[in-house]
Amino acid sequence: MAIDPSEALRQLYEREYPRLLRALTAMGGDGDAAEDAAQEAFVKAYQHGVERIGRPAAWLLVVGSRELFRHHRRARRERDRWEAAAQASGGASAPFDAAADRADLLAALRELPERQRAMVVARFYYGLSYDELAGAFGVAGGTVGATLHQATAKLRQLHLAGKLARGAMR
Amino acid sequence: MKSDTEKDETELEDTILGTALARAIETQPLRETAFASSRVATRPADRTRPFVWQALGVAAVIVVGLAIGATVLGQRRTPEAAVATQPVATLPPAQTAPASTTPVAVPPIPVTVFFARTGLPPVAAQVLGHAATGSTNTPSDQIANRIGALWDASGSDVPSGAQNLFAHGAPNGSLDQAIKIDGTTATVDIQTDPPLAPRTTAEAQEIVQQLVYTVTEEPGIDHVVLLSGGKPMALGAYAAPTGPLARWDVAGYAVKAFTGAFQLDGTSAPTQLTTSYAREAAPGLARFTIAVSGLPAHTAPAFSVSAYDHSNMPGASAELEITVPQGEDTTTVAAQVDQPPLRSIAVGKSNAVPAQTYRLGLDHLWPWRAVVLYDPTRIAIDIGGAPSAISSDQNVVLYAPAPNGEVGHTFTLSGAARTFEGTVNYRVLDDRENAVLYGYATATVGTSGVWGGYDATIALPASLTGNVTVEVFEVSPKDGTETSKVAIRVKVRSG
Repeated sequence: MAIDPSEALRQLYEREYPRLLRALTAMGGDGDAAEDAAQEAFVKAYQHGVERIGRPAAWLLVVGSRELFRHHRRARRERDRWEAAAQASGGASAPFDAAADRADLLAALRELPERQRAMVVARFYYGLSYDELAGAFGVAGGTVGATLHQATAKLRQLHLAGKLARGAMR
Repeated sequence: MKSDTEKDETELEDTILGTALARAIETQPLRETAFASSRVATRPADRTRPFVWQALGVAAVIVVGLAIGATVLGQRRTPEAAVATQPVATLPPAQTAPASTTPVAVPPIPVTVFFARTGLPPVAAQVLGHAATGSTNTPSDQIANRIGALWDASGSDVPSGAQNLFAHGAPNGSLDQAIKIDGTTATVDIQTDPPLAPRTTAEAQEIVQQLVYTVTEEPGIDHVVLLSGGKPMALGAYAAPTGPLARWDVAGYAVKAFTGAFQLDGTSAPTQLTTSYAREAAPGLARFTIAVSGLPAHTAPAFSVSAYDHSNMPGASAELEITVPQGEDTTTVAAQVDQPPLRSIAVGKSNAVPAQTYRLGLDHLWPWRAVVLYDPTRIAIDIGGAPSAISSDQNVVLYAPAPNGEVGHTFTLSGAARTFEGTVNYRVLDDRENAVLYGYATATVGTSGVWGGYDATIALPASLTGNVTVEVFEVSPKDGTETSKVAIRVKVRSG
């Protein structure tokens, strides 16, 4: 009885909520939907029993992204809004503005199929290994590699990597 | 061999892509919900299963340790207030605002203000703020507090080599100020007794510089309108600036800092990294050095740098992020530095791709350069420098000697360049514009986004005294013209 469960739950929330919210916002482009999905993921973790979740960070991310993508229509509408904003901010006069570049990158992320989006975020933002990704997403190890390869190729195909690498070499 | 190189390049591209993406995700503008207001905390307890917290703790620690953003997250808490005050007009209203701050008297705590340095960018220093009794902690109050502190700053408050022209000669003067904030612009109406009385145009500009930098130290404020009694600011005989001013408008540099990212396709091999920082490596120049051990001598390490003109790091309004693939740094720790222009350092590691990442939170994005140095191999991140010693195309910069400084008959010429094959030419002219000496030096790396360091020992004829001009430039490989020229005046000591 030494540890107050609500105190420990608060610790989990404070540790995992900020990046979960960022990851979900990046995937869907909608702050409201991301907040909703993040909150729902914690409620689900609580109901499920946190002690039964081996890797809470990955678990919350997978559950949260599933919640997020249940609201297809809202996500799509928000994506359109985001893209309009990205276009407005990334005009031709500012070829290498860092903020516009990041908006481009996030917009490109949202061009990927939903599952690829979640895996890319889990890989590069959460830093999960292939094994951890396979476990979290319930797929074979080879599938993880192939999916990520496809996803990064697509991102690169959108000239983002090249644009980043070219940078100062005017 | 070919395929290995290509594989390395793909891995490096993945490093950069992954880092950039993680960074884009991390820096999205958003509102967070505090635990107390979260759905899970406000929900009635509807289950009774006991929690196994020890096990959870271990699992969570492992996952957090693996995360690419681990240090980013560790650093993020403090600046959250700063993030929230940045433009958030497009955000949905916060579902639950953080508990509102109760009006509290602002105690006299140290605040950051800026002092002027002749011919160099302004420098930040902490001085004691005013106790604004009964005041609330609004951005206007914070700005008024900083300006008041600047007005009072004198003597030991002022860093060596700097001066406070705003309060120059007014130890018992009075200051009236009215501050209005509209979006990201602060309108500051200042009336002083005695009135501000700059003696030269340069001093007038430095007063404006001090005020613009000090006011925009407030998070979320990036432009300043300076007034005196509703009219353009009174600066004695000198023309007052009109229109909102950003830091860049008054920075004193003719060149703009590069924002964006680039990489050096050098050698990527497992390396040990150690870092150091010098606030004044040359006049107005701060240098963050990453020593790279484990590479053959005179081999450029692979690395990438991204520059951002905003930041959520503590006290910072700009940021440089350096990634060294396969680098390993076990000694540098995340820290709040308060050694302007460097405010804080975050150290990151990625498990997804083996790489060491450093984030440098800066006052302001001064013109900067990533320089490769040898013996021993180092990556130097150079921030600032004397504005008059940077070529207008930002391909040649001179660090020593200092503009308007003194030299002996033998001195070291040093700086950084990104010229064809690393060749830098120099020339010394006497006070009648006759060339008395000519030579060239070779920088560590040639044309690329990255700069090479160069140095040369100059031995002037013993008969030469008085003022001389030192020129450093590139001779165009295409047509032999002199380009990227830097010219400074120095005085040769007699004897």
